[in-house]
Amino acid sequence: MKTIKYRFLILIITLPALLWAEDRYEHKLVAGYNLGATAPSNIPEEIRKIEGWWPQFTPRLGYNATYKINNNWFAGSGIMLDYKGMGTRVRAKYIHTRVRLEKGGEELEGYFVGKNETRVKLAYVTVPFFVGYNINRNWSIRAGGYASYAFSTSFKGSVYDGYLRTPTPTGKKIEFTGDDEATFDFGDDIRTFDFGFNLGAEYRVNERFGIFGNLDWGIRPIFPKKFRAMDFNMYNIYFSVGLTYQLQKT
Amino acid sequence: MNRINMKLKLLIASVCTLFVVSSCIKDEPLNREADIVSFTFQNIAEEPYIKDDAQRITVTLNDADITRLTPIIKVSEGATLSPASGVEQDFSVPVIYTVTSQDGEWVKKYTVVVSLKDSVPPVEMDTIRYDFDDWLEINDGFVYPAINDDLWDSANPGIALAKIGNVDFYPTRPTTDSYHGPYAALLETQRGGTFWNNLIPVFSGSLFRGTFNINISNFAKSAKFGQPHPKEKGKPVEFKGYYKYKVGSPFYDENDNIVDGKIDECSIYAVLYKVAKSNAGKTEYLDGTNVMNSDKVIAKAELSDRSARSSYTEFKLSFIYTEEPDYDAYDYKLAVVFASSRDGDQYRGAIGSTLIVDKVEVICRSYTENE
Repeated sequence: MKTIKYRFLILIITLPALLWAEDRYEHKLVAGYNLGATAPSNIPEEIRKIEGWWPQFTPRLGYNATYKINNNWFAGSGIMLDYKGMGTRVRAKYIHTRVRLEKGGEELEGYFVGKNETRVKLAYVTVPFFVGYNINRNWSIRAGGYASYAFSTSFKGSVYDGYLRTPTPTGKKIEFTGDDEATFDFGDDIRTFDFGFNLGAEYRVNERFGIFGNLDWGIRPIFPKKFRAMDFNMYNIYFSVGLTYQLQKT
Repeated sequence: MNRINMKLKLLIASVCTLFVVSSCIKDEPLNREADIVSFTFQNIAEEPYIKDDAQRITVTLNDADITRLTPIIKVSEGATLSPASGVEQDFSVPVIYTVTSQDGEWVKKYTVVVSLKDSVPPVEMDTIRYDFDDWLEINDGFVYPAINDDLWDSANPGIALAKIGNVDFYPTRPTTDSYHGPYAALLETQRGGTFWNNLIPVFSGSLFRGTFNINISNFAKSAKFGQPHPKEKGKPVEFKGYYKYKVGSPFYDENDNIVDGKIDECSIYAVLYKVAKSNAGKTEYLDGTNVMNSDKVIAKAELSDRSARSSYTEFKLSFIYTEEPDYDAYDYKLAVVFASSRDGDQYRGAIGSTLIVDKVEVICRSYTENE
């Protein structure tokens, strides 16, 4: 028992020395672009056709620090300004929706058939954390997770060229034809925190620069359970590509 | 180098697969609607009127054997119908048709009522009477009162939707404070709000001959005024009835501002207007935005003194014609409109303005052979 306790004590004492060994750290600036979608992980049957998808202005700017565990492995974290967003146009059939028409009012329930255009703009502060492996002098891969804090959220759209049956498919039919459309803005309903997995790779071009590709896959639905405008969950699934710039020479 | 290439390719491949797998569009879901979309009788000219929210189809036939009629019915895509279309039925009693959606989960029943026109010789003066004694409760997901006459409608369906059925008293409802018979129609202007990004400060009580179809982007166009007025119904000459009117307060304008000193007025009018002949004209309507000034209007009977009346007052208005009806060139629709706030379709009115109408008649004169 005592030996274990002593070994543990030695570890605790030497750990800061290990950690603070300056030459084990690398500091990098990261600048990239997020491309992806805030979407259901599986396209539900209510979505009949994705008629369009386009990116928004969604950069990623920040700082990554990695700690060298040994010659092959490293671990890291960072902090980044992370914009995620997209625009999309879909054709839908019987999307079951429950929305509030007036603040503090009741929920209107119905089934929507028709076209929907949505623009998503989410601004996060993201902290990634990962473990990485150096494949060779130039390539490394990494995997881990991330946590994001949303400081600005926008989820706006409109429905048109269709109709809503309320409250059931045999109920009242409200048509949206020609120029008629109903707009919505669910920005306020989006969750403040997002978490997920990340998977990435980096190619070292020279002593300063590198190119990275990273997939961030959110595991938390962006809307809380009490949000019922659609029955399916939406997740942030974004791929970022960009440059890294090493602040210190190795 | 090869190892790296392979690992990189593997990484890219797995990422792509993830996207592809999650991009598969699933099979088309089965249809869930169960409406009767059209209903006609074989070899019969008169077209039945489908009132969807009352789930009722009505028609008055001139001369037919109603014990043996064959309906031709179209339903929502993929839905099934019982009894089937094209099968002869005895319509001397109401017949119930059941529509089941394609996915089998949703059912809607329609009651078909066929009446025979009283076989009396045509009289000089033909009168359309409305006593507003017969009301029913519509339940199509929201519950609200309506006149038990499918040719009339009110804005109640719109208010029911906007307030998600959370309404104690609807702007249009029956009242026992009648001039004649058990009930009269009461129209009351109520406070509105913001619904689906539309600011509607007031809901005017309204009752009109026509149909209400919720128009999301322009609520004023939801109320469609007028019902077909065929030649055999005669030429409208007089519009009369009894009314009481109380002015409410405060008066709101369309921007939700209170307008001091503005006194609300009621609306009582009838309009005869032309539409294209037969099928093209069926979907033509006038609405709150144009019923008074459209060039399709050929005759108007309008109450000009729209001020308050504390006790029942008779109104007797002649139809003023700007041109004579020409049933060879056009079909015609007759609109009759009552509203507790005259500018209600521009979202202006005073809260509590109340119009009560009863014993309304539109007197028509049969066309002689020369007309």
